[in-house]
Amino acid sequence: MNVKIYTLFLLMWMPFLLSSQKYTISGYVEDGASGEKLIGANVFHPNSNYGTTTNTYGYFSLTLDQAGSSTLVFSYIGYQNEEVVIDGLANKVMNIKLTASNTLETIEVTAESSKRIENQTQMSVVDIPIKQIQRIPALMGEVDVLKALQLLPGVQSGGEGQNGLYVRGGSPDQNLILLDGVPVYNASHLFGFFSVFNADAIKDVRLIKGGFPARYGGRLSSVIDINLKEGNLNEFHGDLSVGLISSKLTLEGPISKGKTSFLVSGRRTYIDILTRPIIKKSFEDENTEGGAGYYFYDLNAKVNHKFSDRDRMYLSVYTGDDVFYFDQKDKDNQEIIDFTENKLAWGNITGALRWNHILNEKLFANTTITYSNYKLDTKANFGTTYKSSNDEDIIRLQYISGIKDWAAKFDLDYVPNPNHFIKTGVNIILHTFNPGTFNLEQTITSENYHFESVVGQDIKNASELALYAEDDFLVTKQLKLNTGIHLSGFAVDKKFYTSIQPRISMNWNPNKNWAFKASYATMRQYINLLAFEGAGLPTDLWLPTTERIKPQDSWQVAVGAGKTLSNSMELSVEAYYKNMTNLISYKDGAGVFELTDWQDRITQGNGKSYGLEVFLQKKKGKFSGWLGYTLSWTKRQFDEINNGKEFPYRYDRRHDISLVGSYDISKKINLAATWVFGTGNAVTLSNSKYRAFTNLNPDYNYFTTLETYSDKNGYRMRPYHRLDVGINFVKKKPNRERTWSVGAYNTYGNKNPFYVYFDYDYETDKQVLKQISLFPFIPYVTYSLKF
Amino acid sequence: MAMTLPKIYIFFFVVMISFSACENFFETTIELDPPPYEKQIVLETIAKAGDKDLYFTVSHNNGILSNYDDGYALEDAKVEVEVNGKKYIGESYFGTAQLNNFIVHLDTELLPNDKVTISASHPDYPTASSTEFIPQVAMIESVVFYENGGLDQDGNQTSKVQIKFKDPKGRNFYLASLKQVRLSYDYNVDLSGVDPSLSNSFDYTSILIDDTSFDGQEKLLDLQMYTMSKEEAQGTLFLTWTQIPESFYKYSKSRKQYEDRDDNPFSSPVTIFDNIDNGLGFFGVMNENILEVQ
Repeated sequence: MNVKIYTLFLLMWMPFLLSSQKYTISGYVEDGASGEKLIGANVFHPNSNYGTTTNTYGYFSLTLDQAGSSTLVFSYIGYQNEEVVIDGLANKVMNIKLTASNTLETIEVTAESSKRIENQTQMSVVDIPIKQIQRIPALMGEVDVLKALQLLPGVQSGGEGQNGLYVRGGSPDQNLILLDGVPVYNASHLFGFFSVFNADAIKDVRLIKGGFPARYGGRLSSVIDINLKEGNLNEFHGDLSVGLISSKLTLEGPISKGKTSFLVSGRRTYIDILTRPIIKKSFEDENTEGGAGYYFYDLNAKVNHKFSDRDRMYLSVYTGDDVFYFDQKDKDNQEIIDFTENKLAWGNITGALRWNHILNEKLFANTTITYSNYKLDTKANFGTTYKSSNDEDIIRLQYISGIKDWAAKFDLDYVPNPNHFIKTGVNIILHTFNPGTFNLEQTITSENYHFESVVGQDIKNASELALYAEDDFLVTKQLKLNTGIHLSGFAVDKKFYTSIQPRISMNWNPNKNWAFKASYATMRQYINLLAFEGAGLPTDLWLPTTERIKPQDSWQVAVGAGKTLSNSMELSVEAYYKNMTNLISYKDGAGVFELTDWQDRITQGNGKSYGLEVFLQKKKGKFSGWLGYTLSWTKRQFDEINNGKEFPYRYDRRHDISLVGSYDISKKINLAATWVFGTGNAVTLSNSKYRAFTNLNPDYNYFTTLETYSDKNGYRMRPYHRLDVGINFVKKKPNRERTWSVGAYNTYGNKNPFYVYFDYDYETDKQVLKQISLFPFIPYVTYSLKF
Repeated sequence: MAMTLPKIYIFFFVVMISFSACENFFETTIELDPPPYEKQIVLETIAKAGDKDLYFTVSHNNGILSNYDDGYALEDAKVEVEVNGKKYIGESYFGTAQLNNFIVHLDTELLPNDKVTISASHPDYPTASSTEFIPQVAMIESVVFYENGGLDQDGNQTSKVQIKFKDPKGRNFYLASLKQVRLSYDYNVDLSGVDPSLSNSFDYTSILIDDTSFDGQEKLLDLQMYTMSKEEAQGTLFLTWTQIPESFYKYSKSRKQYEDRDDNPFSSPVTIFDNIDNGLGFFGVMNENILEVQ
């Protein structure tokens, strides 16, 4: 069977070798004002009906039969079309500058677009324009890319306000979140309430939830490809925004006009600064002083340099941390000074150096070196100093966990003719896992005692290798295929795992109006996030596959149909089935801060998810937005959990509806609203109770009530629904534009379930179930200034 | 445009005020059918080296929606104990309002390494049983009180008791508690600590100790307590240093996690470790050593 599949792949790639008299048009498509490269811009040749789209770096290549003078049409959402006359004889390199439209409605794609849903081979992919994401009303006005993705079919949110993504029954660690091609391991701030991505610095967001092209690998459930802006090559610009909990500043501009640009964008919360005087006062009395606080920050920076029309280089860096601190100390006027200093910090640093090189008009190469480091660092010092004797009695504790990657990647895009778009490449990642280490240092100078101990888990090194090849292949005018193969290997300890992952997507257009699609993809994941279900906590551990812990595998099939209903409205319907093996979970009762081997605390099992997704999207016009509906089932089965019986995944959601709309009332006022509905999360409830000792001393005969649990996730919380509304008031002045955004989260104040628990109601003398809700109606206001 | 800008502001303001005024938003009572459950015997006892009488409570579980009035007592239950192969039958001892208590008189005191099996049976329930071995006693070199114990994890001023001991090679678990003995009354002092080998037991007054970080080494261990003067501590503090098996440690730790779960909405349900086959409850064995604090 396998031999047949691989032979089929090879045969499908053969025809591109046969070619007649042809010429190639290639180059970049960019924003005319800023020089920013446009990803996924359409390039269409109406005479031949052939077209292509720009790649991640804004590059395109279109090879056509020689046929005299004709016109090429370049288009992109939010930009005016550009028509360019070509002589149709010789190869030509052209850099196309598109002019931004004032509003989305002005676009009229006169020619057949290769970006239309009927013409795209790949299925289960959604691109959301960042401008649309910025209009979506958000919790406390904090625009959040990941929360915007939660509004798409097939993507479920976790708990109230959380930004975890559960894509087609997968867990958040099964999402490959790439920031400029670098994996980001912890995408959350403030325990999952905000994402680490600063929307002001982002150019493009793409979500792939199935039918994965062969170039992607390493995660089971989705790819979230986020690209930062490159920085304006022509003019200096800035963007300042002030919100309720944070402020952001983005600066961009040319370092060398037309050649080198930069972008710097920073965000910081200031609750700690605003509350510092109050907190300090609460800590202070005649003998002690201290303080406590929490903040997070992000910093994105990027430099883009154009060496020549053939060579460009990008350097991008991201760093962000969450910091919680708590200090207390006796004042210096005392003989004995006790102190405690505590800091809990977690965050990512990522960096990418990319070199784009055009080998020839048909061959585009990208070489990338990346670095990614996620670290949780907890420090606690407790001590006493004695002034007269200079003696010290100090305990220093530190707990560190995290993951660090160095990676190198080489990608090649080859467009031999309009019927083929071939991508191939190699990627090697060196992982260093720290599954949690305690450092303990204890000094008692009066006793001449010093004790040091490092306990916890061994740091593990592993290397991951991937090779891929794929072809977007126009078989006939009605049939397109994207076929490919992803090969991966993982070396850890003395074990080397390998995997062959075939991928295929098909698009069949029986007529111009409809497309029928199907895809099959196998995926393998060698790294695991050991997390408690519920939230993206900093204590969640990234762990490798080991000799004992097998890699996670999945296969997914999807079938669907797509249709452009009008020039601005698209409909897609997809059904999918996903099977997952070797998923990991904590065993019942296992904890994070334990000194035992983490491999003893986890268990492996299986999962499956299947469902139907409907997506109706209006991309252009005064009104834009979408309706997403998902009907799905998601289950898990672990031999050591729930007595081996299959159980619903916590985020198994039978119905999930999202309505997102944005309406331009005028050029100055935009109204946006979001309504979501979801079946309640599956949770485990107590089913019985019994009496037990209150303490370990048998001489005391007191009792308390303990509870036992029913089938895992056997109870459904109430459905979740919420309406968010926002209005943006825009005022344009020469050289600047200011926007006031006002709105509210959970406008009609629905009591959405956050968690449930049993309690005794003394008024009715009954044991009852109580639901806790988190966010009532929460208004917000933000101010932003573009200059 | 029908709605002018000031009107939009007013509309928003009114909506915000009306919803902000919602009372009791955060908690709601939910209607629920009683979930099914398996009826089981609940068996609990703690056996120490040196014990000659073992005390048991035997009861049954109830549905989660049952009221306080629904009793837990299990009439006609039988209790048996087997020590190193010799069987003893339990006798009714003292009945609390909701539980049945039993006592088992042994011929000799329990000794380290004794194999003890307990069981409880009833015609309407599966027989619940458990087997444990009495652990060895743990030796302490010194226990010293310090008026100044530094700050605890919450930043509170403490006093401390410093324990010096040599940990035997191999995996060991300990339980420490501190008692203050006064003329009129005795009571357990709440203990805490910042050393990662320490964790609170579910009863808060005892501390659990896992020797992974100092296996086989000499160790100075600080147990913090509320501030106490030297005079107050002098001659009144007694440390109970107890060697426990892993099952005891797991039970205490999981029960503490269970007790803590209410404070953490992100937590998954915690199933309390139990060593009772076909039943619920806990059979704890220990070997304790009581020392006066210097």
